[in-house]
Amino acid sequence: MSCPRSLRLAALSLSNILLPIAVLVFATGFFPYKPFLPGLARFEDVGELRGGKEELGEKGGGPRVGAGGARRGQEEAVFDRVVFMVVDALRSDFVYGEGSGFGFTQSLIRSGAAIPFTAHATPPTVTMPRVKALTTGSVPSFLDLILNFAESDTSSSLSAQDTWLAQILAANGSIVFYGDDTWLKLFPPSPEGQPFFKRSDGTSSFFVSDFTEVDNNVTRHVPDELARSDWNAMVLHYLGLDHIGHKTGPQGPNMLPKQREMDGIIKMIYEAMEGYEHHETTLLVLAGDHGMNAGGNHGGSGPGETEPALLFASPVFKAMEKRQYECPTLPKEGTEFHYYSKVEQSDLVPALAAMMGMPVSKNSLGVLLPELTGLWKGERRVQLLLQNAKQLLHIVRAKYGGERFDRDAESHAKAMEEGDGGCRGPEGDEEKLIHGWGEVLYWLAQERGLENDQLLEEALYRFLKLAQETMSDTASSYDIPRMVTGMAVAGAALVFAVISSPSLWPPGIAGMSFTLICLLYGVMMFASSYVEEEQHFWYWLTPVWVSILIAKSLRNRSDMTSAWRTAAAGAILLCSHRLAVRWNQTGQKHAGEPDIVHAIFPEHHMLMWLLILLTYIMNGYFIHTRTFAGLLIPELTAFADVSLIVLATVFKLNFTQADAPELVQGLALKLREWSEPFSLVVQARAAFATMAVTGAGVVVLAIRQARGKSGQKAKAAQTSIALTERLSHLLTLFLMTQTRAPNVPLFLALETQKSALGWLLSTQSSSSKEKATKPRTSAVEAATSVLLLSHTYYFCMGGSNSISSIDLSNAYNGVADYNIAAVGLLLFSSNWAGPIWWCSAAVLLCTQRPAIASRKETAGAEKDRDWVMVEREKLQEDAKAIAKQANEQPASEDPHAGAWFVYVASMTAFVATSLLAVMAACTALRTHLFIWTVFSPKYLYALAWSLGWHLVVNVGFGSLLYQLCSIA
Amino acid sequence: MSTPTSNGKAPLSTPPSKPVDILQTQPSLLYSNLHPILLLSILLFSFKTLVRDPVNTLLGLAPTVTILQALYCVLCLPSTNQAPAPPQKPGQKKKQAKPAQDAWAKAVPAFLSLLLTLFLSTPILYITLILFGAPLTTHQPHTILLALHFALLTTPQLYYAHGLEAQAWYKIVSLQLPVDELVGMSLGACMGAWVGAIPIPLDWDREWQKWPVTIVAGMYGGAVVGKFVGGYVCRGWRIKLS
Repeated sequence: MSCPRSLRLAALSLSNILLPIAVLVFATGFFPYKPFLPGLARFEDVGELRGGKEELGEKGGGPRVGAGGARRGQEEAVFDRVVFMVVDALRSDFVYGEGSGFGFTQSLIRSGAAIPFTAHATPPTVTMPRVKALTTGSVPSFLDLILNFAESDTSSSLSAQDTWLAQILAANGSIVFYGDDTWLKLFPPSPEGQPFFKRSDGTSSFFVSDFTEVDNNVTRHVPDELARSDWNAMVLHYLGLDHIGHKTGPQGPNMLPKQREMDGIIKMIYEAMEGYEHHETTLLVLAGDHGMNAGGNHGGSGPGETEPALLFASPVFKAMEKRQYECPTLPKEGTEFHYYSKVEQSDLVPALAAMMGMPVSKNSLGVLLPELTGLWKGERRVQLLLQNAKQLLHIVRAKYGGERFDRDAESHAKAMEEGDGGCRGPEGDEEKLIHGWGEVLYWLAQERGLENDQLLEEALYRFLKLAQETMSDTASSYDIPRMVTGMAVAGAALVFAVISSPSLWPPGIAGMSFTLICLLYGVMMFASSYVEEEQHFWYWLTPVWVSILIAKSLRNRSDMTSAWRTAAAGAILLCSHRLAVRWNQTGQKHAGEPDIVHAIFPEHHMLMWLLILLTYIMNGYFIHTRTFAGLLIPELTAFADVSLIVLATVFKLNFTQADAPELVQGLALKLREWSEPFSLVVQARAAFATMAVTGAGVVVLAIRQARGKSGQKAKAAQTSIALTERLSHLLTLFLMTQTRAPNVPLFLALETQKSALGWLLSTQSSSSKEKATKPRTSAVEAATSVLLLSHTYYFCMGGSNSISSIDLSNAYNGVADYNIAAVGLLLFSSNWAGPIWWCSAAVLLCTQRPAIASRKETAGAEKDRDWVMVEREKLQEDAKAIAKQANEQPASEDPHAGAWFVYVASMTAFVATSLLAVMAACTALRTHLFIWTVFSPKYLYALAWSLGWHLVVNVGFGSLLYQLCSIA
Repeated sequence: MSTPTSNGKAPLSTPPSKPVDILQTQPSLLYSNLHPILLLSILLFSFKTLVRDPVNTLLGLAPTVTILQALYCVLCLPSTNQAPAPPQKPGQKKKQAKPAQDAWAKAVPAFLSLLLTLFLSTPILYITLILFGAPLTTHQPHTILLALHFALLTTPQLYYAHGLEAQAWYKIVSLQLPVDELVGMSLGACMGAWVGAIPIPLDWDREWQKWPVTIVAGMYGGAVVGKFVGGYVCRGWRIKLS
């Protein structure tokens, strides 16, 4: 024992306090807060940019853009109404490719009434950041992703930002909205209670199995609204296509009918635009917010995810001078989804602004689409481009400092005038931009004329593209000192965690294995393919660790029978592991390949439900025999037990019917009919409430019993079960409720693995002296096992390091309104069900350890009883014994008291190492091609593991459970 | 991972055993050093065909490896039958190390060892490979042949030197034998095969990343390294698992 217990406790606490600090400091440097320009854009802003420029402009034959531009802008608007139709996950090939259902839309493209694009969506490709991009024209930060899941968060609202919707309102227009209620959260009513939308009807995308209702709820409003003329913009957001993608992939049987349905709506709108007089100058925009990959999911930047379609349609375009488009067509050679011109999603904003005669939104990084410039004649076109360029210039100046930028640009323009402008190539982003703007200024100053206008336009486009590229490039805005500080803090946390470990030398096999795992994991974080395929690491280590445990356990067995038991325990662990590994295929490389959940269960749903039922019965049995043991009269116990299990099972059945009906089919029709009057929210709440009441009751009764106030003392003596174990079965039931139905049978594997692990970890040493000298090996062994199995189960339940694998389906169980705390808790517990379960198992394993001293003496008596039960009971007695011991003498002298302490110290060391490694990888590889697709999501996951799993679950919840051992 | 024993209730504690000495004759010393070189060279020689056609190459290599391992047992190792291992005095060593007169006395246990390797070790190791993550529904011939090679590298010498006694195998499985060439080679092959899985998920898109090429390479490399380390560097060490 190198230092006293109090010092070690202090070091461990400090380490765990430093962890969140490190995470936050690094995050602020890695996801820099992008200053956005407040307020609404006005024409005057771009008109009176600077006196100097006006002079330059006047020199060239009169002011090109002056204060008069504003009024002219509105007068020369091409359209006064827009129908903005978002189809969620509308990948480019759905509209433009062969075999698409968009027959009418394709005919519009052929006839010249529609102009098609492929719009690049920057990751994260989830709805909320994409809606932000489509409305503000900015590139949302990666942190918006988190806000996407914490939907109620108001700081993500766009009400304070400049959007084209806000511009319409500013011009006294009005907007109506139907579709995904993300929009209603992004555009909340003003503080005075004035609604943002004149009329609206939001639809929540609660169950992805809903293919029709979500869309019918939008479509039913469309004919009425088309007949009205009191709006300037109508936003429609259709969710059905995205749901079909998630459920059955892009080739699913419902995909083509859904495309035809969407095509029908476009036809209805287009015909209204031709038919109604008030729609003469109405523009239809069809946009996908993001695409989908081959598996129908999205979130990252895989093929297809970043390539949604974007299309402008109006009869007006027929008259416009432009190129002819073929449709359907093939993507560009060498690409899968690149049809027609590829543009940025943000380019939509200046295009809308120009066509509707509005100023371009302040934070837009869009460039006016060249394909649309045929709508305007020479002079006006230059004006629009100049308006766009000056708006972008605002952002550039905000970044590099206005005064200096203008000065340098002017001096470049002067230099060009004198004929030495192009003598040396510019270096660096800022200089390139200065030269670009200098060129624009130079051409502005030249005589007007057809040729010069042409050159000015080219210079403007060069500058616009350059500014868009530079300002969208987040790589330049890392705050390196902060990132290094974050790493230093994580390093300090690691050092403190190591200091807090009681016995470092000599390292046992467990200590060495644990250290090796930490080191290998750290190295692995630098290989993008291993970050994507992290599951292999855990699947690969676990069997070897189990083998070591088997060999070690065999040594401690003095007779053949227990040696065979050890072999059996090892075989159970390994077989369950192998089975669990094939449960869900995860990772990127082999995503979508057959696994048990996706290849076997849909065809053999009876088998799945039998396994699920078996799991619930097992859990019910444990609750009956363990949780309630000796606390209540048998009748009450049976009642409570049955109501718990029945409520949970019925909810699981009904939820699965709503979420994944193909897994239920005709099963248990009577049961479902009977429970139909109760909504899922009510059912979930009933199940949760029963669990909570039972939990509270068990705690109270067990404590009373432990203090001898209960009248059932005799029974208590017979069955002394630690409160921790009583509660652990209730926790299992809760986690099962939070797990998707196909994964529920994995809890059978979890229970058997825990029992087997309990046997392997228990030391039956022949000399009790040896144990006394090395009391901590078992705690580190438990920590190593739990670390490996936690990660294994995280991945085999379908988790991965990709954003698209987050399972939202169980995040709203029992939640009717958006309550961020409840949704966050449910989301975490559904995605981290396995790791949370292993944390409670770790408490049981840690309290089991010191009991072994008495094992040898009683070995003879328990010979013919089931070893699992023996183990279990042993565990309880030991837990109580140890806890009492800890209570009586909390001094550092007790070698057994620190099992949980060692466990937490080990986990802290691992979490600190992994954080440090991920941070270092993100810093070192910040210019890597995959930084936003592989390493940033990994950082977010590391954040969830360290803050959610380690701090909240292990340190908080686990320690609480451990303390409960000493109470009852 | 189970112990191939028949006895149910025998006590498991026995006096600690000693590392196995290879026979001290000229040919055995020569072949003992030549053996790893031969193993490595047949792998290197056939590596290209192994990548191109793993099944047929592994099948074709199996007899060669069998012969090499049989030679190793016969030439270099004391058999369980002829040399009852436990009561050995330092002074007697040289006498026992003399080559046996009857070639049959060596050939029969060697043949039995190989038979056991084929019919006992290979199935057990096949199951072990599956449990450690080998593909179950595809690549069955690959994995079966991999298990065969795995068994050939790890077990004939153990059967030959330690026989089929429950005691001995209990010690082998629980890693209680002192480190020697044989244990080193077997453990080295296991670790090599395990480490060999590392490159498979990497996105290098190389032909040799396919199943089971890296495992085979790791296994052979590990066996050779393990034999050297067990025979010279760590000879006589006891593996601690505390």
